[in-house]
Amino acid sequence: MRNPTAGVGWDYGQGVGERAQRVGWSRLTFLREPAVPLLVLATAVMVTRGYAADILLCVGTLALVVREGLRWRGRTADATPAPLRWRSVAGGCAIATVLGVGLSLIPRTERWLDVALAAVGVLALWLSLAVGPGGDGHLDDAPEPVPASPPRWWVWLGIGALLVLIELVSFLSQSDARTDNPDRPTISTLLEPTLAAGVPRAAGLTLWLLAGWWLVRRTRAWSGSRAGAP
Amino acid sequence: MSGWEGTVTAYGLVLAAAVVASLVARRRPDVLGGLGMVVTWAMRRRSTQLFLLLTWWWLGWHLVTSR
Repeated sequence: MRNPTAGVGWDYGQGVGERAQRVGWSRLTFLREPAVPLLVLATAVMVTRGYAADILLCVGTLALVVREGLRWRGRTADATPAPLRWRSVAGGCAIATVLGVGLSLIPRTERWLDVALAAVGVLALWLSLAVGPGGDGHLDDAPEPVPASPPRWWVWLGIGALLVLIELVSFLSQSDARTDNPDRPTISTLLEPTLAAGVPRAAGLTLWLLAGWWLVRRTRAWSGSRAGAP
Repeated sequence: MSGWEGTVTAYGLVLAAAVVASLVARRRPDVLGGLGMVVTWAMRRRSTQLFLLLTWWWLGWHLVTSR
């Protein structure tokens, strides 16, 4: 059963101003989520680097976070997907390998590579946005799933933070935002020559596609975690 | 130790820490959750889902194109 007053936002004309104000602020609770400051930081770095496409990507993602935040209103979902059968795993790996090898044959400088990778990204985004709360902004009253936190999850947070810190120090040591410092290489400076051609390039692209599949399956788990989802 | 060696060593130590953590998580999941489990848990929020999708796509694009 849906709550007919949910999603009304600021409404002082109905004599329920206090409640409307509370609902209005509750729609913005997603702004306190950890991904928001990380996205703002990433956007700041991209602005410093001055690549228009990267800036557009970050700003577009921020806009999507706001749009989806207003739909989800800070709710959580169990992102654990249904288990896969072996045939699905084998089929997914085969498709990723064929696509990975195919993409690796396109030269790095070719515009078609950008188009092909953009198509993969748009497909992943479309699959992810196709699920979630109803488009009318209403949410049902079903209990919100709150997945249990894995033991000592902060260990992985610490490892990730260390990696970001080293990358940030390397980035800040550059003479300018677009020129690598050979004394303090970033991860991309180290990996790009390896991924330039041949088997490593095909393997890297295949792993990238599999990682995308892994992520998309979790973004789509919402539909299975709540009754009445579209 | 040069700056290059120091930086690469730092990346190597982080990678080694991740490998050790993965091994511990595999042997003792009651002590330490695996990376996949932690990421899945973090993806309970929609903003994290979109952030990770952006990060994944940007990394692929950044590493394999000539920009």
